[in-house]
Amino acid sequence: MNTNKVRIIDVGRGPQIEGHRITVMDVFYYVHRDCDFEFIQTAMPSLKREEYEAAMEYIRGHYEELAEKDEQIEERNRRGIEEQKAKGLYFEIDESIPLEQRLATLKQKLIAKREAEQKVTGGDLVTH
Amino acid sequence: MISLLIDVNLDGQAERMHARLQSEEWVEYFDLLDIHFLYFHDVGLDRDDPDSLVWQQCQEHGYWLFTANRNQNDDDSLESMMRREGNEHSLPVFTVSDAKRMMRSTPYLDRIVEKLLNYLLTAEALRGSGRLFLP
Repeated sequence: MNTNKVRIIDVGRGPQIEGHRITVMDVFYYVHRDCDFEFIQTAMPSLKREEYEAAMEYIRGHYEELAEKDEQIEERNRRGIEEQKAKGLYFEIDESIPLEQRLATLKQKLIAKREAEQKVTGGDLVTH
Repeated sequence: MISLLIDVNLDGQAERMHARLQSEEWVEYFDLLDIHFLYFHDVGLDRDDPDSLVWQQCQEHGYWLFTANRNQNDDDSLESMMRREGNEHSLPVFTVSDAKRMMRSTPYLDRIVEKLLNYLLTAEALRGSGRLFLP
């Protein structure tokens, strides 16, 4: 086992893998949701096996504490979405409108935006 | 042109989204917005660079950060940077609330894509918004 080569450190973002921005909470998020190393590495390809093992060692020693933090993060995200909605900055997908119609509207807006930009830069607009 | 800077905790999701945006269903919208995906190595960032430097790069070079939000709100966290340094001109940060689902579900990925495109339509008006959650 070479897990001792990779340390878990804290530089002000909670426990994280030394030499990497990926935090223990990043790894725990997947582990807590029954994902294995192969899945986690597909999501975070820069995570090496020994770094994952170091995070897992930390996770095994602090599981309940991390589960509590994970729930706090979920709650923080829910709160963040509510705040975004309160500020009128949350784009709601209107499911009552068929997807084709929503996309047609989106396309019109995108073309209008592009045309406005083309007027400024003097280029031609090409659509598929 | 819109440059999305992909944080290292969402590389896989970003690759999946990039591929989806280049699929027949979405490529027209993708091209109209002229979206560019940038990874840390593309912009000279290292995989262990702190949030403060990532935030600074985004603001200086006009990158829209695309990240998960699973860190604690300690002193050097992105959250703290946004509170300390953010102002009405700051570019917002796109935050994916369910990174696992984004990897597994194409309908969920499509919701993220649809929302992202709608946000980017009015990109300049979103300055100073802080975090924008996806979907």
